[in-house]
Amino acid sequence: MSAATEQLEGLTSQEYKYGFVTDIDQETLPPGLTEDTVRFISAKKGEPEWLLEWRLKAFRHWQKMEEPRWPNVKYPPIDYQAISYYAAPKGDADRPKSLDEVDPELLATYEKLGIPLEERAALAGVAVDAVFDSVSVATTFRERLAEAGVIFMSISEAVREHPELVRQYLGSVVPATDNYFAALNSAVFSDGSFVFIPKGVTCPMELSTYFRINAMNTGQFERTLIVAEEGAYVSYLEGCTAPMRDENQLHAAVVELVAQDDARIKYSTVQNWYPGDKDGNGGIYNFVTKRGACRGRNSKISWTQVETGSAITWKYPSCILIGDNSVGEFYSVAVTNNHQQADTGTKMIHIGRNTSSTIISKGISAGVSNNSYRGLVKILPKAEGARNFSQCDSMLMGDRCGAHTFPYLEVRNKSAQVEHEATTSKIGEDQIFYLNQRGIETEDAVSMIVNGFCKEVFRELPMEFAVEAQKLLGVSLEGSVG
Amino acid sequence: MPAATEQVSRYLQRFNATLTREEGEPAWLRERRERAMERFLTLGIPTTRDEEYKYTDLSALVDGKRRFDAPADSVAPAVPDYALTGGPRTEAGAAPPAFEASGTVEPGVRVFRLAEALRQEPDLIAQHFGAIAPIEDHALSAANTAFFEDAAVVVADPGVTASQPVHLVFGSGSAARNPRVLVVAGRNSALQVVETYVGAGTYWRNAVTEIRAEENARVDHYRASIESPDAYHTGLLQATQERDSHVGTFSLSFGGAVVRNDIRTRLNGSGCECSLDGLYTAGQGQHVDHHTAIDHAMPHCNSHQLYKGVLDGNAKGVFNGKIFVRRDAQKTDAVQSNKNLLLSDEAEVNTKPQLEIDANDVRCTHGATIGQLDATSAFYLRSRGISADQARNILTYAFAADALARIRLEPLREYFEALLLARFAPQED
Repeated sequence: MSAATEQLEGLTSQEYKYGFVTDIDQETLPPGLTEDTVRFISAKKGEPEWLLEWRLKAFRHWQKMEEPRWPNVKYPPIDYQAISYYAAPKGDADRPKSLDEVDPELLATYEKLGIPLEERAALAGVAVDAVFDSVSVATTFRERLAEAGVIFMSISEAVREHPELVRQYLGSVVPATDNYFAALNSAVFSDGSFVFIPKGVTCPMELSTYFRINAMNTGQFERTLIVAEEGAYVSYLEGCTAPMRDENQLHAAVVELVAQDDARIKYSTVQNWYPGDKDGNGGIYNFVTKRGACRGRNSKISWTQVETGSAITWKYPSCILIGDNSVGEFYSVAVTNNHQQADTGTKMIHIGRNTSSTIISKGISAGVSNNSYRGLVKILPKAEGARNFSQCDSMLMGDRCGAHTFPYLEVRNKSAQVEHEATTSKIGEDQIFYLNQRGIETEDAVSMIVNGFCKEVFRELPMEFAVEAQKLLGVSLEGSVG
Repeated sequence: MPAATEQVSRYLQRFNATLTREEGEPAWLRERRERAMERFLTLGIPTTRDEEYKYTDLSALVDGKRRFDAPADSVAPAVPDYALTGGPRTEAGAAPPAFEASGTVEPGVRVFRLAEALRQEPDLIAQHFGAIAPIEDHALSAANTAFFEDAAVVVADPGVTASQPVHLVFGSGSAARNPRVLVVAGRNSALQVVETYVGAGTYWRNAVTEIRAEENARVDHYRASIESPDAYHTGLLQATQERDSHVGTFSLSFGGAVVRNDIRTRLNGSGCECSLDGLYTAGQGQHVDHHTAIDHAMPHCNSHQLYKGVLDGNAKGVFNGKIFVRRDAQKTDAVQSNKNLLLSDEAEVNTKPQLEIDANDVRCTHGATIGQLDATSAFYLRSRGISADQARNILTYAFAADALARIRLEPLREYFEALLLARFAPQED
């Protein structure tokens, strides 16, 4: 039997490695969503009036919207009233000032995940703003970042400490009424990260946030806002794992990036949330709106994502290239297995002159999963000299999975040069045979070939992440050959 | 859907008015017409909210929005003479007929009008006519099925290789507004069919062609649409292929204000091959939309698609190519390519090459490019003393040439090569 089939069996029999629940007291709002829920969250966070109004406006608009049905994914209707919209670890009022004060059980959770906060921070020089459910509980290297003038804090803190910045940029890239899930997020977002890199500053370290959904039945509504002023540079890492459970959990995050003149933002994601068991029960619904605006000349936004988790992924990290000579990049590896469904891709909107964008998307489907690439490249009439290159490759493992490609190319300027190419294939028997013949076991051969298939994306990841991503892929392929 | 019904209520009146006239039709055909009308009333004219029509606005076709009643028959557009032997000839200056087709072209190849075909081949017609083109989810196909007045039926008997192409010419008279063609190629037969559409004035033509290729048959189909600059042309070409058959279609689109062609084939048996190719050019005020779909339902089939577009003025080009590979269609090899050349600042292209694959042992690729003429090549020609205009013309022609090269019928290829060269020739002051 072919290696791909054996691998399929291996994949389906593999259990989720990071499944456990941490037992910590949570202050949780009962399920339900009304204006009062929005007011409660806002009051709980001690937010100013304008933010409450902003949330309410989003909420009222959301009530009038319809859930989108166009993505190539299927799931039972979501009961938005059955979700609890707020959960915070106890003792919110007196937050720990340092790691020593953090609940040891919480730290143990990170240990199990392989994210020893202090160690990792010390070894890798990475500041970690760990989000445990909805409230940030530990922030490291705050002082060192502060020295450079970088603001890196939870968005609730930012609302208190830098209200003028938050007010200026919040919702400026993804408006509160942008789409169904963005509107929902705007109404009920609980926390998230805020990053501000002032003019001319290169962020002295890579910023990292680990998200973790923990409380049963709690949707997590993250809101991330990153602003890079003129000439600034930041690399931001986002990685996630979630404990195993049976009920579907909704995650509707919003990420907004703003790059001014000559600024560069690199945003990397490794997403490994619970994908559901092999029969398709449970798993996270990951409906995310990510968008970056290259507002300034020569600015650059680069998205890199490795998506291996979630029952359903629905996400299109996009770039709006407004500034002349601005650059947008999208590198993606999406792996679906068992009953997972992914409809992911990007949008590149070219507005400024000589803007360029690159899209590299690698989809791997196994089991009975469905993997769709959906992308838009839009060249507006004023975008003289715009350039786009897109490549979308799919790899199919097993004869019951699906790969779909929906690229939209809309060009309204003749000087534009737009290229799109896509291929679909499976792992060649001859490739495996070649490696076998060199003494490499089939399992390692498959892993090697898949890693090679994704190489163009992995090399865009920061070092630590690249290692993790390869490990993640290796884990997915483990036991694939019996 | 009352809203849809409202949009097409006048069409309903027209449908009811024609009911008496077509009383000679067999019961099954009447039923098919009535079912089609029912579907058309339900579906209505497609809107841009429909993903399939996202870039093509057909709202002018909604009742009373625009009058499509040009005195077409009074003006005589030239019917291109491809010098195809065996094709019909139209005398210069004469109004083109609804369509011209008749009798036995050669032994084993027969061309009928519908009434004649119903008399001579009732079973064959009942089996295939209206059964290939879908009406349940395709409003325009349903409209044609409800309204067509006559149809051309081309039959190649099993084992016959036609030596001459069959040429069907459609003018823009009212009888040719809903042209309909059925091509049945029997086992081991080979057949070439050319459809030419010409017209003058403002009209809406809604054409449906059905092709049935039996085992090991080969059908080469060409559709040349040289519509009037004010015409709306919508059409569906639907083919079904049995095992080891080969269907090639080539769509040439030169005229029309709004052109929307759906070209689909379903590969029902293993070992099939199909090629859907086309060339479209559009200038000021034109909108050309091609939607292709290849349904790989069975294993070991190959498909090939090459669509090229040249867009000038404020023309809009739309392309959507779909390749479906069903679960059991292993060893499928599908290639699709769409290339567009923009000659002006206002021209616009929306392309969406789409793959939907449910089998794993396949090779599917697609590509799309949009660009302008290569400045280096133009410079090379200029440096050899060729004027800028001529250089542009040569390069444009070169861009389109490899698509034209896929026309296997030589007289047709030569005719369109000449037409293309003339079209992009430098303007005399």
